[in-house]
Amino acid sequence: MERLNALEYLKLSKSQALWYNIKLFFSKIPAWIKSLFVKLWITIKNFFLSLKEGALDIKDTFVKGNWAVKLSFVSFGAGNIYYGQVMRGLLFLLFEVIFIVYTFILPTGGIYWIRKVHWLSKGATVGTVQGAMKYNPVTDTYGWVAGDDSVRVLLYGLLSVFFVIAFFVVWRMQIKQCKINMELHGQGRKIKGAKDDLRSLIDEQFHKTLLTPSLLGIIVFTVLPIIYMVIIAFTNYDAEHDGHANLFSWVGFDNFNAFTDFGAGGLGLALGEMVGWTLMWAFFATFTNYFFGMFIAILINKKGIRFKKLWRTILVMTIAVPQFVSLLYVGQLFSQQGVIGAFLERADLLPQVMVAQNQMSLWSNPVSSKILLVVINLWVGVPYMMLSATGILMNIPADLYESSRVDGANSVQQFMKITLPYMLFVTGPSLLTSFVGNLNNFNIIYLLSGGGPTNTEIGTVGGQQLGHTDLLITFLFKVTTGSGSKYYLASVLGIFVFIFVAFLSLIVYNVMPSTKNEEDYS
Amino acid sequence: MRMTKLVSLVLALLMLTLCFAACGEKKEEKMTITLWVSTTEGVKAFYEKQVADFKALHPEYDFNIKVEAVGEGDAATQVLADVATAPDMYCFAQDQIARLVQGGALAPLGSQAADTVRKNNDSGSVGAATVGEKLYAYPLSSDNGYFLYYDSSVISAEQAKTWEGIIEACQAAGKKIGYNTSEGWKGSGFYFAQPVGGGDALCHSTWTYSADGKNPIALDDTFNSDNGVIAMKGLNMLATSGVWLDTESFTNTAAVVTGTWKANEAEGEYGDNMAATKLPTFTVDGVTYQTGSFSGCKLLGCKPQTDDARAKLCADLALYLTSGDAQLERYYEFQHGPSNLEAQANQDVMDNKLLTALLQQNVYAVPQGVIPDKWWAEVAALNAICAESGKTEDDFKAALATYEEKVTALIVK
Repeated sequence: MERLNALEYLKLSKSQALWYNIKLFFSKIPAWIKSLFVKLWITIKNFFLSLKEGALDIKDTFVKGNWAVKLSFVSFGAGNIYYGQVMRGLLFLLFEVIFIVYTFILPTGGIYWIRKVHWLSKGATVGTVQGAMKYNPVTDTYGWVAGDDSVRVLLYGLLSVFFVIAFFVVWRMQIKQCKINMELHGQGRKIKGAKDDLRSLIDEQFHKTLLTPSLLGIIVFTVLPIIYMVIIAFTNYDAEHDGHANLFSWVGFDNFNAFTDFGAGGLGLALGEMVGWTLMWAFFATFTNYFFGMFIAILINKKGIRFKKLWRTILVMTIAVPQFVSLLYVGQLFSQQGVIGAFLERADLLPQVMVAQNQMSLWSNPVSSKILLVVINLWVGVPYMMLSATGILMNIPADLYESSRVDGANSVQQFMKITLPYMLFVTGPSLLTSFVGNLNNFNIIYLLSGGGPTNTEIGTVGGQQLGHTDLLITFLFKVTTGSGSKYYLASVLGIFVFIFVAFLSLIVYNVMPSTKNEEDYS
Repeated sequence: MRMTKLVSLVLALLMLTLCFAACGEKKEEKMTITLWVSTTEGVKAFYEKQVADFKALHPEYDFNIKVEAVGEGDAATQVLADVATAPDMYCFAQDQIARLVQGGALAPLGSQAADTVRKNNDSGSVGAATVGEKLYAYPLSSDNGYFLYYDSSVISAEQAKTWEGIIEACQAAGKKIGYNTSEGWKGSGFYFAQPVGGGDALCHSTWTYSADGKNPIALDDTFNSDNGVIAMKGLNMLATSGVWLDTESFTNTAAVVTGTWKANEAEGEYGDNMAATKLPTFTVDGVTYQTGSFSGCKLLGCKPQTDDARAKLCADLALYLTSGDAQLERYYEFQHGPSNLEAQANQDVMDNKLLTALLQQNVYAVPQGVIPDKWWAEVAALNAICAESGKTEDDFKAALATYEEKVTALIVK
């Protein structure tokens, strides 16, 4: 769209300026998205370039290397030992031996598991032997002859693949070291021995020593489970194919394709409903808390307000009670059997529209339950925002306010030009995190409305009743823990949540003043 | 400086070891049998005592017992989460048997044990424990049905006979009726209603399972019919009366549809005015129908074992715990209605007020066969539509058509 220069912009009336800014914001979105993809493309390109460089480097090392270096291409650590790094060399060799023994020699080792998984080949089962019941006439009982357990087969298969990847990483690592040794040797410099290595691990390389345990922990407890869960999305793992009594199998992209069904009860329609409400919820939950918290903080901070500590204490009381307790309690209050709910009904205070539809509590109407959720969330969330806002407000240099007052600014102008930009600058990243947090705010929704009222137009989805206030995350919980235990569906939903959150975060993060104008307030 | 490094290194290693320590397993010498029972206060201790009696009776078995309280309504979900680490024996409500068998979490009974169970228990409970051709569980009690509790100071015995009477009384007194129709098991009562004075139930829904018990292979279902519309109209009349609550809780109510497990709460709320009877009747288009129900039971199941000695022990223990004497003991302690025929004939059992109400209702009840788990949600979906006012016959017909489409899709060809 057409950009105005400063002079033209100042000529616009207030409403025109606002309209101009809104248009400007939306016109920028395609550019942001484009830059996002460009960045992504560059990253991918760089990755492949570095791969190419690595390959050239390996070739170079092989051509220039002596017999020991050439030998270390098949027998790990030969190059290290040749140049006097006996300990490193032996460790590399030990790793190679363990890898070969586990992968190829053990009867239930790496290859065994990797073969059993039948990676992603549509229709094939994960695991090969089906467990079965067997009758024992002597004891007159049925026993279980164990077969494969798909869940374990997939896990061990995945671990074995990780091991193979680790094998190649270590292979590359020791070749790199051979090259370094060659160069050092050529320059006539000393090559580090075992003692130097050990010493450096608690000295200049101490970070490696410290990070190794946590890195291992992250790989085993975070990266591996995430990959595992993503893989589940391509199987039919559910109550009927639980991997134990019935092996589950690969279904390709069927689970994703199911979301293109926009008919009644189709997942596409349900997904649309959920995404719409999830976005709406995150928006309202985040910004109502943000602004109310800020206003309360400003109010209490005002000069001349007495008993400041008392007001703050009263508000902070809600934090003292565990959140789920207060949520369950307040949720009950508004139900038909709760004090407020029963009062509203008996005093005929419910809107006529709801009564006409037999919706006798605030939780049974989609609109009123959505409003109630936002309001109750406000009640439990405002104190946190108020506390952090109080601290930030005190940090704003007082001379800014003083000089603006000298220039004749009123308090609204001060708020719009000083307080709000400052607040947004400082709290931008935390605002983003709380937005993402609200997208996945399971507690509030599940404990208050449980996702209800039931969406009768859509009916059952995946064996579960979809509610009007179901977020992606609460519905994910329902399909996993409900009767059908559709783990694959939960996995697909989880992937959607991830894409959704990652995409939004990237866009918002890129337009945030905190990242764009980093120098402004420093 | 060195000290800080040392400390941080130790901490980092400690973190890692702690992470992995949780994965370690201990080996045990003596056989330990795990048994899950109801979470009701005192039940756990009582089973421990009954197992001790069994040990005294059978000195040939040397084992440790670990009794844990896990909800009977929730047992299948917990067990199926990982059958390999699930308890050896567990109590569950019969509606979960289909998915337990499908998940390979129940060992069929040996032929002798099956004969004993068939001979000693009422037909409803034996039917509930049978999937395909085999018995898969031991009946524990035959009281898993629902009936009407009411407050006799608000509702007269005459009014309690019809939904219309109850609604009238509740409207006058500003009280509510609790009937959680969003739960398929209780909520299907209207569809199984039958005309007063005799006649077939409005609808039926009977599932046939494959011989191995794993999949539903056929369905005989008449919900999608004019009779289904009658049932929905009846429920709609109740749900839009302004006094209906979708709940099982007694607060603020004068009448609640639920089962024996709520006896204490009912007594606490209604006191001496607590009364119990069969479910009421309702009138649609001039014809009066008696509300139906499911009669069901609680079962005890044994997990399939790889060790036959262990399987034998579990089978014997299960037979003991579900024997007539054991059931009678539990009746005296917790008022659990027995499934054992001898125990049912006991005079004290026959005199029980709640069990009498249950027996009255059982005349109109459909013995709950084996039903796929997803069926319940479909009934609940129908009932959610009944709870909206302004619905016409066409809306109900459309809903029933959707219902038929969805339940037919559950059949495994």
